[in-house]
Amino acid sequence: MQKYSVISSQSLTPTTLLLTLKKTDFNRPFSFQPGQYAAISFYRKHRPTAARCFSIVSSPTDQEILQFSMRTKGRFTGALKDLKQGDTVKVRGPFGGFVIESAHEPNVVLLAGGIGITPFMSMIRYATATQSASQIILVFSCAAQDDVPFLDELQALERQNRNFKVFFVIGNGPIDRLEGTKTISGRITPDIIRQVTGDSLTKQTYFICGPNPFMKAVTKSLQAQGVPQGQLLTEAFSQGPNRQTGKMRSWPLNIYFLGAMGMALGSFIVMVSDLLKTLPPSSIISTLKNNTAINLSNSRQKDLDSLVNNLPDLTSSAPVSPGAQTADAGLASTSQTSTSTPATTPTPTRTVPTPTPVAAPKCTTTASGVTTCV
Amino acid sequence: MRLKQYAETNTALGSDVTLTVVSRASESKVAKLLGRLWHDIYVFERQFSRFLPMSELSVFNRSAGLEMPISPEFKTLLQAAKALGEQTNGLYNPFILPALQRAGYTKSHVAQYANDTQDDHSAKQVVAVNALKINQNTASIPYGTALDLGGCGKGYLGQQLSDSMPDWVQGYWLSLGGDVAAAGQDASGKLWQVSVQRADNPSKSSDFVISGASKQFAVATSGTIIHKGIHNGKPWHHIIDPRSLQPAATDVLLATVYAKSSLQADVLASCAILLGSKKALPYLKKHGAKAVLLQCSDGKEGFVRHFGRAIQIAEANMDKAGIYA
Repeated sequence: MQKYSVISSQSLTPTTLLLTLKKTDFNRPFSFQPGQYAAISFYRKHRPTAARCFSIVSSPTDQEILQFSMRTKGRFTGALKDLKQGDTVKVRGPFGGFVIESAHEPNVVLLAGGIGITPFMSMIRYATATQSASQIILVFSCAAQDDVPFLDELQALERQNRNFKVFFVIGNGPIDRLEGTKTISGRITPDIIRQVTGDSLTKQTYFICGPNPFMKAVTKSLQAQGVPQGQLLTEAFSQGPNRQTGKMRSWPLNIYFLGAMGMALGSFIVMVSDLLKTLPPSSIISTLKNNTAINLSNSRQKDLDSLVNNLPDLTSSAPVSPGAQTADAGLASTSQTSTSTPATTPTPTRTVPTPTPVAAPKCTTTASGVTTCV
Repeated sequence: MRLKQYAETNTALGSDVTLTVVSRASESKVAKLLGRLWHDIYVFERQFSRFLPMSELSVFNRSAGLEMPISPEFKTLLQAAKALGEQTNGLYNPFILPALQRAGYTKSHVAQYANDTQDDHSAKQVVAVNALKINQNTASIPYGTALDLGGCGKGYLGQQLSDSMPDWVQGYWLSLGGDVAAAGQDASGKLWQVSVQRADNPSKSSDFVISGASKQFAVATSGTIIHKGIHNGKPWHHIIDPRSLQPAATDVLLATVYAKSSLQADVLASCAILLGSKKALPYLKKHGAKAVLLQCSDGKEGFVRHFGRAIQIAEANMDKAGIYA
């Protein structure tokens, strides 16, 4: 059990909450694999609540924060929404074997139904941060276009990670607000999956996560298309008020369960081994605190993006920069001596650069801090 | 065609950066070159600035304890930092960031970016450079530590930019906030002369100049007179002594080092501040500095120490030559 404090409890969509936590004690790193979940509990009216399990949304590469996302349904999640900055949350885990084995699963299709996106966010963020070679396709099914959590970030991750593609499938209503994305109306079907993978259905490993009816329907239809059971991995997401857990529910249960247990055991051994390697000396344990910049963009980042984007196209025969003025040998001497920098200085002519806007790589930084250059 | 000189100054790398190119080539060709240089500088800053939360360096620091895939550029930079740390027996330590932040260097010194969000590693620990593990495509640092490439990064970039200069450039002068990488001649056909700021009044030039060379050379200045302030009531500056983890307290106020490569010059200039004037001169000589000028103070009055033929009395002060002989 590790203690965290709340940084923010933020509504991503009308029904989806993003809970961001930071460590309050640095006894050890919280090692987990993308796709795993953890049990969280907190204090409500000075009394501890029961623990509930939620998938971890953040990437293990972001060691100092932990993010969970959940539907705001029921008393527990309702109370989570009311958590204030600095409130204490206890986290136990990680649990689960719903993880990508990159070495054995080079082609992965993630099939998410609604809030079932959460374990996949961690996987995709991790794959992008670590430049994973796994080819990942996400097919994200949502009821309506107004209820698509992580929409901007998924698009940004797609631009940033050439091995990742995202497709949205909207069940009801219009899709006009998703213009510019790869969006299909309807429900996930084998035809849609075949269309997005552009390949035989049996070559990929499928990770399926969402409400039970969604998982049953998708699993059944893929099995009917001849996808071997071994290539179907599922994570249950029950929405009952007393249960919101990640739970392995594949049939035949025993085979998958044993496999998952094996993976979990293996993961546990690796985790313990990693923990032992990375434990900081006790002298700093008590003094460590976490102050990760949660807002992963800043004004310099934006300015740099703009500067790089607006520089002349370096591959073309560039137009003359009007700012690059010629100077005679007898240049008007403008001292570049800075009052704040002990720069050794010549006496160059200072000209004002006014770059010509041309088609150059465009970089953007999203609110979630993902920088993408295309 | 006669030589023409082109110069542009912009804010980059947390400071003022000036690029000066001397060439007989057409304006458009030079403009294209300057555009490419700025591009490289901005891309470098975006990738390796600790003040940008999504730079590769910041992501790497937040992943301390994990073996992280790294870009080839980052690998080269880390290898250079590690090698310098080993060559200087830890006087240069890329793990110094927590101590630097504890001392008070928590904000960009460019006024408009002073309030930018960034990671705070001040509660972490400083470890020896050999804790940096670099593998084929990955690297790792221990959990609870963080890297800052500091001047090493600027030196590395200066070197890269110098190496990339086309042969139709007759002279260039790249001033990356305290680090100068240059070669060749100015527009009048003379070798570059580097004027050195006065430690007691940075807006004025000192009595010394450094005479450049036709081949690539680098001049780096490091000092306790910039990037300084008051933190928790105590004055601080940005040169942290890895041995005490406190801002260096020696008699050297400003060290100017002339060397073959900007990477070498930058790190040696910082070492001079850490060592003090007595130890610095033989140390820098031994480590490849070609010329050194140290502006010092014993608390009462200023004095200079120097070696190397490149250090010369400025023409305007030739009448004072005897004083420095």
